Amino acid sequence: MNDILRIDGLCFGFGWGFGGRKKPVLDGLDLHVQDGAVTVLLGANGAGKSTLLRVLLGLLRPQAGTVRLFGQDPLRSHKAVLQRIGYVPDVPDVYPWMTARDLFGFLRPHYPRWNQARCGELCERLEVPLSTKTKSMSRGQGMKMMLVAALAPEPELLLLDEPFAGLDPLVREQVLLGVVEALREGERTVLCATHELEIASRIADRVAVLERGRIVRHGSLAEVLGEEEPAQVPSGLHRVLAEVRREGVTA
Amino acid sequence: MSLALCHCGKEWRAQRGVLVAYSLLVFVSLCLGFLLVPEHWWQTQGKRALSLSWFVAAGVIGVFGFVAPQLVRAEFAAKEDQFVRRLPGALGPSFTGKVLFLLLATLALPLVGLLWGELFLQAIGQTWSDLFTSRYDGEVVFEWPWPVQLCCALLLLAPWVWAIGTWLPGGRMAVGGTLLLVLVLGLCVVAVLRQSPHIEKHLAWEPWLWAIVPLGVAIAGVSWVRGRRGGGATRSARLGVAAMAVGLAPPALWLGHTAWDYRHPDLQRLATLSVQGITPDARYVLAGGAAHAPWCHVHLRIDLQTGEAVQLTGIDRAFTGEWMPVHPWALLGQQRWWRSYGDRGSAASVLDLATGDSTPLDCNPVTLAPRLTAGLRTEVLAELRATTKLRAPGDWRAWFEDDELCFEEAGGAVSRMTWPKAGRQCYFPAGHGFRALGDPGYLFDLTNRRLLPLPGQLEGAFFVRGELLACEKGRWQQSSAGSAPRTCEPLTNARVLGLFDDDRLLCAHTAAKARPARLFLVRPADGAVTELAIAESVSFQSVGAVAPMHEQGSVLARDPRGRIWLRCSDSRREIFLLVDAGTLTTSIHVPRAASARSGYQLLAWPGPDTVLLQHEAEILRVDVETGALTVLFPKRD
Repeated sequence: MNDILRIDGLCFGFGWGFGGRKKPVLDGLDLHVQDGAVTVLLGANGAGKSTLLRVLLGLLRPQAGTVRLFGQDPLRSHKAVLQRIGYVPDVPDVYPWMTARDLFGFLRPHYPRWNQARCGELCERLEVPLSTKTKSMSRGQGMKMMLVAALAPEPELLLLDEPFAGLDPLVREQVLLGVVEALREGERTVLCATHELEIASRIADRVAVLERGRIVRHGSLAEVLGEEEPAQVPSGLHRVLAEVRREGVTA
Repeated sequence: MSLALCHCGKEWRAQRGVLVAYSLLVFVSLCLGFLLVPEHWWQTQGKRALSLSWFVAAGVIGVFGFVAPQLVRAEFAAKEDQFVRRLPGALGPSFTGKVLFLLLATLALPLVGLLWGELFLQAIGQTWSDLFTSRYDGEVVFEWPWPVQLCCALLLLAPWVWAIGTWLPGGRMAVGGTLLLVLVLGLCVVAVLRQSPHIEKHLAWEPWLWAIVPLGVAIAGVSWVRGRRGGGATRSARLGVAAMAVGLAPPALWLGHTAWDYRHPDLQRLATLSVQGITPDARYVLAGGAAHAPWCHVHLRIDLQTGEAVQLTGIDRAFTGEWMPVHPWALLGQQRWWRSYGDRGSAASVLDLATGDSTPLDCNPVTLAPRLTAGLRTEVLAELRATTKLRAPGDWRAWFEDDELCFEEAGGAVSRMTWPKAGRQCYFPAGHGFRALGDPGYLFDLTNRRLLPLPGQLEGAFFVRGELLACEKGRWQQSSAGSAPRTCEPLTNARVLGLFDDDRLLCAHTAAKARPARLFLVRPADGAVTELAIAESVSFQSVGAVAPMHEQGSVLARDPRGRIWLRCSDSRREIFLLVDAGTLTTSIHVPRAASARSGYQLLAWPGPDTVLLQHEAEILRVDVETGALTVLFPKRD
């Protein structure tokens, strides 16, 4: 399989850089993500997971190193790269006056592959309130709306920035199911940042541990946890699907 | 374009609540305010249009204070402004949409204000017809109230509010930031203007006004589209400031170039020239000049033989030919040594106009009186004696040295008289004597060496061999020491031009309706009158004697051939009338085409038949006999 994402020697820091030094957040980070894999980026709070995703979205400019998404620089080929990416932030980042209907109508002309039917189907399945303003939505409703907004363009790469954090268990499972169903239908590549090991254990094909600005471990969950992955254990995605179906959690 | 329209619609959705609330609040408040204040404050003629203009101004303030800052502020949500930045290729269409929305709001809000104000005035039975007046010829003249002018300035700055909003964290305080930037830029401009007085009178700054809005939009574009890609407010500020520097560079260079031109003009292309002095050999000229008419002069030294000019100082220095506390009232003079000084007499130096050398000069720190070196003092005193225009009868010279009045005596002897008046004083030659201004003023008779109080408001005074002729309220009275004053009838209604010789005054009657112009000599001793024949074509309404560098002395100045030069002018032209002192004949000299009237200054008579004249920014040499005219300065290429 091809690397859909290649990061080599990525450095990024915040601050004014007094005396030429900025507070480093990412310090020589290397990460390769293969097409079709679900990679969970594990790291403690403040490890730089969100920063890494913002670099991938072209929101931040690397101080050193290279970032290639689909073989392209997300800063130089901003439009071409982002049209193939779906992004779910940790909190809804859309305008508070927008309703879900406003949001989808606004996003639609930005994505040539926007699938309106799929958008409607997801809204129905996840029970997204279409006429409620974002500022009036609960966190769960907001995250479901963001998930629909990320999936409706049929992205090739889905970036998830702790989308499950702070959700009540029922909504959490709904969101998780939405993610998983979407993956199953499109066999998309996922990079999910989280600090929860449980999430990793449920969905990850591969796990990358981010610490002190670098990927210190990268492999299957078992490899990362220091144990051999049993051959009979299904991959994370299929395991979650099975669990969800077994527990009867439906949208 | 559909994406841009999409973003424009998004702006409307984001701002419509604030704008509607603002409009209702402000316009209703204005209506209530006008209803509550006394009627004579605004319902009188000329004030109704002003009241209407406040409604328009409220609309403009809405654009400046709400719409423009919100173009950035409204992008900020839970995760700052990352939403629009993470959309594929959205920054460009977002910028276009914002430009479109700002344009629409700029048109709509003031128009809404106008409509609201008009409806309000209609509702209370008033009109705003005093916004314009119809002239007698049918032309309509608009009289824009001052709030309208304020509105125009604010609208010019609206894109800048947007641009600066992108530089600030959260897009906050964009209006304050813009006003601060305008203040800083304004201070820089004012600093240049203050350093160069009147420079603004030749600054064609109006075309730059048209660049303010496009430049603001361009800076906003760079700050938003380029700055927000891979960065936040800091990157926007960095790129925006760079774009602003590039955008402001042309007007800054233009202003800087103009300021440089102000202080370092092309000396061969001066617009104004003011000759201040000339060396006794009439070769070198000390002059002030400027590239444009209202600007302050820089000083230059001109070599009349070659036409070359050298800039001596900038605009902040002055030159004077005064060396003694008592000196003639003349800023111009034929002399070699000149004193230069800066602000409040600082950094004085002495200029040798003949060589162009300048050397520092020590001055008394309190009185600022120059302390001359022995060698220089000798030179200066010799020049003072040689160039003095004060004469006692018999062509005996008189001049001042420090606080002494010196008289030339037979055999080269010099008698001295301690001058009784203290302090710096100026005098005007008045025949065989001089008249000093001051409070109180006084007269000095060089014949009898006596000091007289200046009686009342004298319109003119001349000493002729010790006899004083004074004009008060149009009547000339003559008196000598110890005698009662008597009327000098021949001088009635005459203009006395000066002392023709030791005994006679040259006088004139200007042309009037039933009276031709007349020149005549009057001898006060016996009242004898001698008429001077002048051509019938000479009909002057103004006449005055001229002398090189305005240096009139006791006796009227003569050229090397003994002719007295009179400047005569009427409504059509200006000529020189030359009076031959030997034959008492007159001749006319017109230095240039009659259309080039006025403005001639006589600089020197360098030869028997040549005269140096300054006309506008040129120095001319004219052959009096042939009329041939040569431009000595500026150089002809």
